[in-house]
Amino acid sequence: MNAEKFIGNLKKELADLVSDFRVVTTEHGISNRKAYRVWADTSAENFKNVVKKLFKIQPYPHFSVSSGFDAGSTIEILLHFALNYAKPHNLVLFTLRVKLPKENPKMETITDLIPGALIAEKEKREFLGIEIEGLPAGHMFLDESLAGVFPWRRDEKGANKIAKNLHKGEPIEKE
Amino acid sequence: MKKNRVQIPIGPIHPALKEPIQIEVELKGEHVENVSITLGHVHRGIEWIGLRRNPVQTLALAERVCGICNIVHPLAFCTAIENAANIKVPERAEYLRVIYAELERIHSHLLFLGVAAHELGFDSILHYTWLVREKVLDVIEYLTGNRITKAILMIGGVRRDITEKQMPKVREALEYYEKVYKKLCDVFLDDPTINARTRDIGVLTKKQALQLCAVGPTARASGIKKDIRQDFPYAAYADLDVEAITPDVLLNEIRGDTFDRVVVRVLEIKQSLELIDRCLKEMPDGPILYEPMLQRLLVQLRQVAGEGVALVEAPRGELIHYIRMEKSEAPLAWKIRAPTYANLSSIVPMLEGCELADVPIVVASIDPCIACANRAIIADKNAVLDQEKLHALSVNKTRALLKGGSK
Repeated sequence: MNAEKFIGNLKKELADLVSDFRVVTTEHGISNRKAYRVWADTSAENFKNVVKKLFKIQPYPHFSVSSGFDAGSTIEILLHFALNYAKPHNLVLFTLRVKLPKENPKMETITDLIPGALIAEKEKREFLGIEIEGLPAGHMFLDESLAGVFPWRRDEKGANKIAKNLHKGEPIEKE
Repeated sequence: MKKNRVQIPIGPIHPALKEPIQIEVELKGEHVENVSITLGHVHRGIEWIGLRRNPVQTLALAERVCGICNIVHPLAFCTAIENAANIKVPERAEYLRVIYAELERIHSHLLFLGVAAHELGFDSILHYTWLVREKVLDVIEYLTGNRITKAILMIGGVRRDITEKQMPKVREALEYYEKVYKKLCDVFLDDPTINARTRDIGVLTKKQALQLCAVGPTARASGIKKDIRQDFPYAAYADLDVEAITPDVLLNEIRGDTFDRVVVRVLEIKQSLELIDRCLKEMPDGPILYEPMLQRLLVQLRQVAGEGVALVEAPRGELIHYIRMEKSEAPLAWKIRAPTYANLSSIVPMLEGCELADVPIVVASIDPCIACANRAIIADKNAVLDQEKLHALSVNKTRALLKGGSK
């Protein structure tokens, strides 16, 4: 299936679940071949249904990783999927955005659907302090002594204070 | 832990990797029953640092994510920024980017083959492979000024051209590799002992690879024909019609084992040589930078409000960078996902059922950016099994095979 047809199917399948569905193309090489990037927003309630829908379009949607950052009043999580892969020049890079409220950042795990998402979800939990329901406990990246410090947060839960103390070689001080 | 089981932590630290790793294997007798992974022992916070610098300064950081893949990381970073800022890279620069990326793939795959030989106890092959690798490092140094951190990429293109005067040296290197390639194939693909140590060892089935989102040669060796160079137009790959290489090209079958992962990389060296040759012949004339004036570029980047995401095929597989810009000096968000991060989960099914002596070669077969499993401790016997002893186990298994002992 070519990328444009795939994107048409994707838009149709996700119509009730996402907003701001955008297709961005860039051109490369002398042939000006197009690369397709698709962006869409969804809610914390709907995002898992979106992932389930992806399985309808493709048997094994390839989850590349999730990005995440502190956007002030919300924490934005972006799930990047490489869809329609193994089709020369027709891969669709789909990014699904979920905005979580800062006061209660919570989302469901997708590891029951995509086991390969485990490391990315643990990373988001440790670096941004979001709660991921259904994700096994245990730290994967940060030492237990950093519990409660979330380095990618820009608020008081971030790592600014400990970063300033690092040169002293002293134990980590928390608020 | 169950009774009669021995738990062995292998790792964790090597500074070459963004996410250093500890692999804990639980053994029943000589066989691995369970595997768990811990990362981040020396997490350097590169993304965090990058959020406090402008994109041109951060480019130098992107180059230092990995000591081996320091073309593809800046390439992915630049592509994400170009995507966010709507910057069109000149065609000649896109071809130059492919040449540099493929030179890097050759040196990385040769590095892997040397490591694999070492893990099996064939140090003469390690030295031969790395001797062969010197040629590509010499060419990289000749073209960029450095063997490792090349500082050749720039947002909107590349910093230096390959001149007509430089071409003969690159072609000479391609001819050299054409000559030694057959010997590399003989050594790695036709040797009965390498075959015995890697065939049906560390199997990753196609289904497991799909579920665990494996990437690069690890995924291709399990029969998944995905390769970002083939699937997703970026740089001059858009013109080159790359075909993803799976082991059946050579062997007419796919087993997804350690041998298949060696096969894919050996074949990809040849593919990279052909791609460089094509680029040298087909590269158009023209500028190599979107904006040669650095200050003007920075002023433009400060006005960008948007986001970009890039996919690149690194030597170890799919690499992704995400950038969010909000009209400020530094990006609001930067996420890097290196291929090893995606492939780590695959180590678990590969190792389950293996003998302890196979652990080094199976872990090495995903070509992780962890250059060494640097220590291992048998916790419940208070005995220490360090890297040398673990390596010796693997070597002894090879020696036993060479003497005609049982596998």
